[in-house]
Amino acid sequence: MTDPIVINTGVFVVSKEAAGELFEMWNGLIDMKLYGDQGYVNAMLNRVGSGIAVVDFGYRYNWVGSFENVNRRKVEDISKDEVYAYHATTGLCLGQIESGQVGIETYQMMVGEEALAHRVDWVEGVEREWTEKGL
Amino acid sequence: MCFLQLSFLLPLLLSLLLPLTRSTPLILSSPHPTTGISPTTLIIHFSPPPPNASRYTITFNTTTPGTDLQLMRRDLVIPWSESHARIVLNEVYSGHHTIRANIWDDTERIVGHSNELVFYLTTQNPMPLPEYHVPRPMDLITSSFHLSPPQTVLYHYDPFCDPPTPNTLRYLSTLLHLNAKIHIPPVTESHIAIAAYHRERPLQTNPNFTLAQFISELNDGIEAWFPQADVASYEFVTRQTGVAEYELSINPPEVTASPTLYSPSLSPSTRGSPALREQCDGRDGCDGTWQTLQSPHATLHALVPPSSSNRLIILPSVTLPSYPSTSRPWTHLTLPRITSYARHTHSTLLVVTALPGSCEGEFVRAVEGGMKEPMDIQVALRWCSMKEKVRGIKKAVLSGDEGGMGYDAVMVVDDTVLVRSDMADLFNLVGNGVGGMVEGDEVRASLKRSEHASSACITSVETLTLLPPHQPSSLVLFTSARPSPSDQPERVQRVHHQRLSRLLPLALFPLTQTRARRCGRLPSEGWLLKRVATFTVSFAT
Repeated sequence: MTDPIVINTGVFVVSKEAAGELFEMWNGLIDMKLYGDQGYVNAMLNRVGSGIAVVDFGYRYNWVGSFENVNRRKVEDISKDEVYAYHATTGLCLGQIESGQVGIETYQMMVGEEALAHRVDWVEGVEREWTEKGL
Repeated sequence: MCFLQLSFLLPLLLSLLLPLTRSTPLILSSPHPTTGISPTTLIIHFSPPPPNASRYTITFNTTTPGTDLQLMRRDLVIPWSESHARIVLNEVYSGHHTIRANIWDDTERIVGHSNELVFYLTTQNPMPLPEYHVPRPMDLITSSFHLSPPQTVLYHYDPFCDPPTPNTLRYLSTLLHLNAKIHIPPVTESHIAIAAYHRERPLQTNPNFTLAQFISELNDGIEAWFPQADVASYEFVTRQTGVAEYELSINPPEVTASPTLYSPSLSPSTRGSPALREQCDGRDGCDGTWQTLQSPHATLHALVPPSSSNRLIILPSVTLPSYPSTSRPWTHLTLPRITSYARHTHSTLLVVTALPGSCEGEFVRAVEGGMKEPMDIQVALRWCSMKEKVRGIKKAVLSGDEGGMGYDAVMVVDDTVLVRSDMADLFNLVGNGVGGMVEGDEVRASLKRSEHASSACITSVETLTLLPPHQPSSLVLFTSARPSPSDQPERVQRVHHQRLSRLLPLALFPLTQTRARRCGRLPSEGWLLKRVATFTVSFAT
């Protein structure tokens, strides 16, 4: 069995044709175990969407929060200047609590006001940088 | 075999590098094999130079994907008087590249420079990978979006190196949007045969796939993916070498001016929340353009472009004023940007700002069930927003006759996404499919585990429509769900069969009560199941 395609639906484009195939049977319910739409979309994509073409936009078009910490290695070859869409996901709120290593065990998820403030700071920082560059 | 020896599957893009000197486009064409074998040649064209230019330099920066290993950095100095230059690329160029060109004058001053071009070269894999594993197309397309019409992109497409897959056609259609001229370098029947070889899975040659068929397919694909394009002419050119050359000239669709935003006569009370108005008022193209739409599920605020637009962007941004932890304190930055993007892409923007009615139950359960602030409330709200996305997509693509909006394509964007003003028109890339950032292995593995744990729920909940017994049904087919060891499929199957076989002849497959309960629905006696067999479900052990 091949690994499924998993698309992050934070930035997700679907054509009418594909949407009809993916969501025709949807009746308003989604199993929460499937991470909401994220899981549902991907489950349907892999289950009924074998004929649906999938275009990988790449990380530049959905730079998620974990790229700033636990998944930094995945994007080391991408310059921040090439990023077109920053996505302040909750992965951004993984505060590193142990220095010197990179691994999930060295991070702790922020919650509440701390998490909100951290995401705001991040978005504001990106916005400020882009504004200075005229982007 | 040639195709095995070929060093590069060249992502095709090439881009116009814009020198500072106006009307002096510096054009990089894509590498393509001049003889069909390695090495690949990068051809650099340039138009009449500025009077004071003497030469230009091109800087290569090459790294290996996934590492910071820099394999090469070199400057190529090319006399400006040359009409073109050829640079031979070999194995060491495999990887990500950045190229930047500087134009020098006689006094050794830089008088112009290009933007940075990013592209990717990879070694040809003899076993074609699934499409979504091909090098990320946006790595290539990104650079083209630095350009704007009416500059010209000269695009060399070599079916030998890159067979005409749907993704290829999307590259082409994207480039067409940039007023591109597509140049297909030497194409022979043997090339096409090899291209067909790559297209087939499993690998096998297809001698019947002719050049004419290829052209027809390419033409159909372009029209399919970019229907507004006017395919003006194409012809074969026989050069002294005797090889056929296929040139396709395409008139890009007319680039319309910025959309005249529809301005409904709205009273202030119907223009969304005060916070939304505050974010919108005074901004470019935003003032007076918000329209509140009626929906049984949620409060929607729409920024509506001209009626000709057939694209919709859905932005769920739901908050609960009573719970500060659910606030979205970044939307004053993200919303204006997605608004501009909607205008740029001629899309309708739909912002969902109120709690969907269908989610109230979820939320009430979250609160009354003793869930703790702040995390659980956030989860409940997020859950509702997620469902609203899917609901919105389905509603958007339904035709008006079905009570839907009838859009041709939908983009959903989280309100936590900050987009650049020059972000590519992602609608153009998906064709009849879907597009998004494909997650890495760890996320796939996680979802795979999760999905497997509840796979039966998708089958039963998502596909069963319960009808009362008096309602006729033309199709009754019980769904297939693979039972777990703890279930009793034979008994369950027998029970359901006894219930349903009295009503209609049907094919029954086991659906366990355990799964039905977990999914929140258990078919009760006397009810029929309709439209269950739209797709076949299989489960991994």
